[in-house]
Amino acid sequence: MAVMVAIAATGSTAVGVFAGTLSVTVPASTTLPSTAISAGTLTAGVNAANWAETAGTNVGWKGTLAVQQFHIIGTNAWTPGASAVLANNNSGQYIGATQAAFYTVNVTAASAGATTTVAISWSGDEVGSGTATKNTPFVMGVRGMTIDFLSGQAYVVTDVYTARVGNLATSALSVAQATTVITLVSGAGGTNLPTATGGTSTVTSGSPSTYSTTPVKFVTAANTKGVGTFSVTPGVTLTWDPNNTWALPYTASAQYTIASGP
Amino acid sequence: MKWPLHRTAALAAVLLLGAIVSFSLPVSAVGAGSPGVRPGERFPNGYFEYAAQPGTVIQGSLIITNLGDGPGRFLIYAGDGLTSPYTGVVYANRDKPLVDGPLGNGEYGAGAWISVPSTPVVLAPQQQTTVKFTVTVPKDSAPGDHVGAISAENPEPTLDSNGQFTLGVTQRTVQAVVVHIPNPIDTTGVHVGKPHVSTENHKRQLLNIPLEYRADVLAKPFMTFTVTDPQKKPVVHFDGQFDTFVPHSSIVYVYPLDNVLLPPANYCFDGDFGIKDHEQHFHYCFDVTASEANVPLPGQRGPHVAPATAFGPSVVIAVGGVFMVAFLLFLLLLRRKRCDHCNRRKFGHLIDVHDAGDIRGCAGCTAQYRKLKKLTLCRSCYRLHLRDVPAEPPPTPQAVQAPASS
Repeated sequence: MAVMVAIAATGSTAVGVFAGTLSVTVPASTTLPSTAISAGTLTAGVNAANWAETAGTNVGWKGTLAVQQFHIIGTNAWTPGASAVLANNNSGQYIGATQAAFYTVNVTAASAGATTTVAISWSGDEVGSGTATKNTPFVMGVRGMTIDFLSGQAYVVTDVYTARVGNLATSALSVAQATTVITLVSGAGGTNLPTATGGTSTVTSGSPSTYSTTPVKFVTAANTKGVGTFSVTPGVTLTWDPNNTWALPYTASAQYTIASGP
Repeated sequence: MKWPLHRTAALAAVLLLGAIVSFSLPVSAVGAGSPGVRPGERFPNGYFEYAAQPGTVIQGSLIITNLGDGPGRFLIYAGDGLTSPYTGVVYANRDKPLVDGPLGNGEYGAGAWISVPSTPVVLAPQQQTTVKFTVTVPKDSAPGDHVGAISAENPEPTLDSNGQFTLGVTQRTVQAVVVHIPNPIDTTGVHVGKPHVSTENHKRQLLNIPLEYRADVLAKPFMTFTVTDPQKKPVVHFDGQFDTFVPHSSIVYVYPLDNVLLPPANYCFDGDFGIKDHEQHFHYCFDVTASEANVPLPGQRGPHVAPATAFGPSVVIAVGGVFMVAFLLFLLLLRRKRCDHCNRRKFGHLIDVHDAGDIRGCAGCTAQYRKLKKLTLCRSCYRLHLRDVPAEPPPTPQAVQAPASS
């Protein structure tokens, strides 16, 4: 097979420099300070990590933040109460827009233990009915919810299951530049320190399982700066609707990116 | 044994500060891999940068080191560089790596030109490897700058789900890949669309300004705009240089109105946008509706920092600790006694004068002692008084009985 012409860039010759190695290490998980749901907003430093350009050539770098949607995880979402047990209490991840969604599933016809299906209806954030196969997660509606009835278990029409799920708005998180803290770990301090940026920019999230399409810059090191290792704790503001949020754990994953580029 | 109060206070302060520090430390990722990345070749600006003709195939290498304290499994992928809504080049995620260009299908980004191995890189701590990649510049590619990137990502988040709101984090390291195709045609083209106002989280308004950067080359354009109300009074003003725009990128520039509320009315926007000395003027008028103004006034948008009483254990302990230390210091201050001579408050024991002779060299203290029948002095004053006491008159010689002469 013929080898295609490979032309080294003009930039990769004499005038070039070896760039330093960029990295983000020792990232911390953060539980935001406990705040009353009624407050509706909270500003805090989150997820300290060490940002570094080692053996650098002073070409600068930038740090961006992308985030998944804050969500209540589907694990143990269902509450059987006094009703017959389920195969498990897990649901698929709710992907709707409601911050505090509620689901009720009613068994609509008795199902003997040997019967392989259960007739159900559901109401709340979505409304519908269907026949679930035992030991197979049954998909309710179009917002990711599932329920898994137990094989061999009998169910009666008084069996009721409830779930509280939800996702914060995709605009829930924004940068709080004034709260960002940058300290020296190793290298030179002073004017070499990277600087916080981003103002109060919204970090529009992706879905509960995908990151923002466009990350938001919150720390930057200009040319000749940012050589060394720096602890960066980004300040963020989280906003939620006090009248539409469960007092349950909402979690999300953020993505730190350190980049060298234009 | 009696423990002096000031020592107790010091010990309490140390213990409390220790508690504050320990409760404030976040949960760190233990044993996580972290991708450290650098180009394998030299470039003028550090990142990969090539001048190439259409149809060129370029080969490069990326050096990846696991700089974490545990084994790392890193995903390597190519993606587009794109213009952030807040301006500046950012790099697409692996969920949607090819998004650049007006139509969002990657037709102007270089991400689609880059081929990297799809197999994740697995490295032990401090282990290093070299990843080869290829940039294939299409034969019909347009002149100008094209921005792509190569990312190395640890997709496993650190996550601690012990609270109402929890944020885990993953790490990604990106090296841009910029291809300069000679002879760009348009180096100045821009356009500003009609702005509009929206609300966010029922908390603030956002001024959304559609911006098109139509030029073929990377640049940092300038923007000056003023929004005036129906009385022609300026209510919003911006003047500055934006961060880098990727060629042929369209964004809706989001300008948060954190310090102003635009009530329902008709407003006019006058702006100049473009690279230096090539700015173009744009004028629009737009309405703000009642629903677009349905946010609190800037001073009434709720606490951005939760009150201390609503905070979790670490902050409660921290605040409590500060108050406790302050209280103990206050107690210490109260325990100081005043010296009746120098009138200063002193720590430690003061000396009660029981003998008027000790102070007879000091007229003031003698008078006070006679009046109150008590006197308390600090150690230094007491010593001074003893030193200044006039010498005792020599004892009167006693008559010595002469021995009886024999």
